[in-house]
Amino acid sequence: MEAFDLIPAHGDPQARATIADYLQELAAGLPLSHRARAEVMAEIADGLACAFEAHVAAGATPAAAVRLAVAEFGDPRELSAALAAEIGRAHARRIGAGLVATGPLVGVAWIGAFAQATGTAWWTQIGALMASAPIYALVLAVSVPAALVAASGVRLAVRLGLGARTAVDAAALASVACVIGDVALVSGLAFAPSDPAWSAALACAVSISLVRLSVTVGAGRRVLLLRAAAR
Amino acid sequence: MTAEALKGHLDGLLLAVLERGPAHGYALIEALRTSSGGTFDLPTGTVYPALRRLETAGLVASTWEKGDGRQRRTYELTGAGRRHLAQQRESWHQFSGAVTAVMDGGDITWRPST
Repeated sequence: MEAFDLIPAHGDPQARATIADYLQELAAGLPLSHRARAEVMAEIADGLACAFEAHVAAGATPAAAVRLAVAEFGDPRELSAALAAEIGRAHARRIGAGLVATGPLVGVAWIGAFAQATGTAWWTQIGALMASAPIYALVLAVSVPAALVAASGVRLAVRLGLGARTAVDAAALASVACVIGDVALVSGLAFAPSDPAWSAALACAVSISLVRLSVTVGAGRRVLLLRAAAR
Repeated sequence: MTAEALKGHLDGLLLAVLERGPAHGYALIEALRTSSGGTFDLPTGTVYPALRRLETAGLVASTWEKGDGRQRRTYELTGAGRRHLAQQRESWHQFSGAVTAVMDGGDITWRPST
């Protein structure tokens, strides 16, 4: 875990140490990438610096001002949990939008590959695709509505004044379903004919599925960590 | 007034403050304190998750500025935020008017049956 000292303008070592401790505790509760965490820390550090300056301007000593500033911000664990909840919702929306956008692309890639390999019309290959990975029908039934809820649920929930945790759960569910779907499609190739034309036709579809698989695993893991951090 | 008592109203209050112009997190909480005559004295930390929520909902947008050796995130209302604020304001006026009418025992035509 990196150390935080984001207020170089203030020379009082005790004040800087107190604020650094606060930021350290806040950061410990935020399972984010280095860059995303640094952004949150910079904003909170600026707020703490403003509070510190306001108390000094009101006549407090630096030591008293930093105590007041930290007390004003509240318990860092509560703040990190509240931030994790909101950042988790933003992640959920991005996951939902990403899956909604890439779902048709993956579907078209696989159907097109099946059609090219067999030399038949694409619409006759939808059944072949489902037969190659029978679980895919269930995956679609779960992932499509879950991704739509995650993509739109956050904005609707905020605008209607509702809790938005549903969007995070929907994003996690959609991620898990898509991972299962991609694994099922790729592993289904073990039973596919092994002639070179067939392999070449599927290479593109497999690549797209593997890229989505790795991105979804990372994003789904992040949203689950944020969900846990939000308590 | 506690953060719990303000639950459900904080988003609208922040949008109302931002209607006056762009502001950073600490300036927003200070404006809430000042505008309410000190009644809305919330933990400063509560404003940051609320701003994240509003930004995710597309009601505010943020930009980063650099100065005084530190970075500052400034928020401003979006078009959607202005429309949402107008709706919030209208429903609040209806709600507060109705509560006041009942609390003050205004034009009461109903009488309890005996």
